[in-house]
Amino acid sequence: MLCAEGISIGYSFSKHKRLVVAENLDLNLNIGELVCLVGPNGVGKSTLLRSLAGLQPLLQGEVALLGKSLKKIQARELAQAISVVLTERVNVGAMSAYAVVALGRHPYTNWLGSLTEQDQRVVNESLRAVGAEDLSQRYFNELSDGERQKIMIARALAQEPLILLLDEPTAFLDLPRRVVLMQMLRDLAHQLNKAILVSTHDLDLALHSADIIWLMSKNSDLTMGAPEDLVLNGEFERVFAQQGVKFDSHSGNFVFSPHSKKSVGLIGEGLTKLWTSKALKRAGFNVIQCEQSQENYVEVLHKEGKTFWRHHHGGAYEDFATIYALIASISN
Amino acid sequence: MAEEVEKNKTLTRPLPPIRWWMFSLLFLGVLIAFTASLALGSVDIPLNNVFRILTGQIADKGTWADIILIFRLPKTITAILVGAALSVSGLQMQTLFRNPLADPFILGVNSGASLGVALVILGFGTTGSLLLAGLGLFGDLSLAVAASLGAGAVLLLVLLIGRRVRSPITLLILGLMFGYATSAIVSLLIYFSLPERIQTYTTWSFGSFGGVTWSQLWVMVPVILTGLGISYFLPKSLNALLLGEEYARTMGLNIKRTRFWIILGASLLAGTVTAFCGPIGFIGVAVPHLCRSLFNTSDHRVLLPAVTMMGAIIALLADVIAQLPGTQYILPINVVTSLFGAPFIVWVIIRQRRMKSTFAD
Repeated sequence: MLCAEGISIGYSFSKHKRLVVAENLDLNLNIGELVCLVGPNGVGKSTLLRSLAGLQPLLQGEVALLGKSLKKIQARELAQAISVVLTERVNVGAMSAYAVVALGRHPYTNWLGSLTEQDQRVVNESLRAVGAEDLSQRYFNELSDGERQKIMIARALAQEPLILLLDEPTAFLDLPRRVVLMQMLRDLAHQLNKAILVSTHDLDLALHSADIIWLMSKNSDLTMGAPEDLVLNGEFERVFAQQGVKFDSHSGNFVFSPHSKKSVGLIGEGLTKLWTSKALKRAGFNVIQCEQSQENYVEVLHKEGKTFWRHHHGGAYEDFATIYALIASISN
Repeated sequence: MAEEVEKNKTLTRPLPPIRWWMFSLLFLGVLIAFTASLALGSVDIPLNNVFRILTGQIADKGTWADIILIFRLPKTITAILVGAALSVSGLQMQTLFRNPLADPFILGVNSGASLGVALVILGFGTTGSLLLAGLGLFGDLSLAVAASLGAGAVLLLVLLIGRRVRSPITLLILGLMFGYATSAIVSLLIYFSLPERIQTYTTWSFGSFGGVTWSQLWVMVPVILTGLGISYFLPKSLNALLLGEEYARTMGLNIKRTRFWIILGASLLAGTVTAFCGPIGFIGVAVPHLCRSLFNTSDHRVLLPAVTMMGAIIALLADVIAQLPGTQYILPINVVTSLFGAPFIVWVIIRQRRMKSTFAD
């Protein structure tokens, strides 16, 4: 579909002065796949996305759509193949959500921009695909961030593109809406057979939803693979270690406090044990499996239907009714 | 199934219905304002006589025909052209720069015109005009020609620079700087000039519809119609620009070409108006806001015809008030538009309680 070989991206200020963000990238976007472009902040995710969209000139190399260089494709033709959702917040004045989505028909309509029946059908389908039919008659300015994002995606879909590029579409959304949005994009890729590239710094979501991840790192290299591939070959750990963040390959999460103060044992069972362990790790402890002979350990106990935590320390012990109280005491 | 059909029905209602009755009302407003502007003035002429004179019949008083055909009709036509031109120009500038405060002169077109006029009046004085007139080229057009040359020079500069800069904000700042530079030169000319010449310049800067003669209209009408024609080809591009230049580009809009035509059209309109009538403020900023507020849309397919008519109405009404009907006094047009227009527009916009619809964030 969209194919780039040996491209360099960045900004050129004058003949001799330029800022190279990443060099020598080989990329390939395939139809029916959701690609997540992840990497630490400031690594050039947006620049890459904008370069692929043709919004920004390449420093070197070429991007080709179905074997044809982007530079040689007419603007109108390109708009029928690639559409984008950008991070900037748009202010369209007084316009209904429907009218905003209808703007996506721009590359298809006549000089006046009148919608044919076909155009109206596509607009309706786009609204339906993002689940925003009920928003169509409301004013765009009066929508919430999440609703606006939906409408902007519907607008991008109304361009009937083969390729959809989205820059940080989850940025202003709360967690449940992020999950819903990524699921939606995944469905769009698989069911409508689009190639969708999403840049995000939400690694967790990317791990759960992407068909393939493009992992960008500071020294401007780009690694690709299924999320699981990148976990297993240690790429995630490597890239985020550069930023001083530890990625735990077992849980697929970031470890918030990599500098463990000391070790503590933990005895218990099931869900309570799992979350107690998480809490202890968050407080900076290195949690180890142990027997009761240990000097310093926490025991999860159940008595008369109540759960409580007993902290053994040098022969003495203390009981806590909540994890919060336990952590507060044990940290000192 | 029935439910599904019902759902589709509500969905396919495309845009807010174009309110034909509002357009009819606007058109009626233009007609009324047009007639009022012909009938009212230092001498009030009865309506039936106005119609008789316009249709070529004999009026009750012989002088009335002269008053209407020689003085009021060109002035009224000028007012319509000015109102339409400034409003359309302002609308385009506000969308191009995504700035609710943008006006037709934001790129410095009127600064150029002012400089041209100031050079003629203050720099060369009457000898300068006589010189130009003596060349037999322009006759009574000398001020208009000087202003056109000034406006044209700035327009050319802006278009040339506009091809090279990426961001419209840069253009905005350039226009501002042009304004400062030219007003500095004008101030310098005023500082060293004679009081009576300064008076002439100040009078020009008050703005007036009355100075345009039939022979000048032969120039003004085609140029303004050209400017309006260009603008009327742009509603789709202007709508795409509402999402910002980046989105517009990804929707297949050729930004550089669009920008060229917008600037050319808008500056042609604004420059011509300034050349013939002096710098006329307020209409270009206010009318687009007024129409967005009344029609509650920022769709340029609705706004372009709406501001054209609304601009004409406002300019005609301003002219009627400026004549102070029944008296011998005439107020400067800028005084009237701002003094009477501003409170009215503020009232309309606040009453709508939809500041967002006026494009301001």
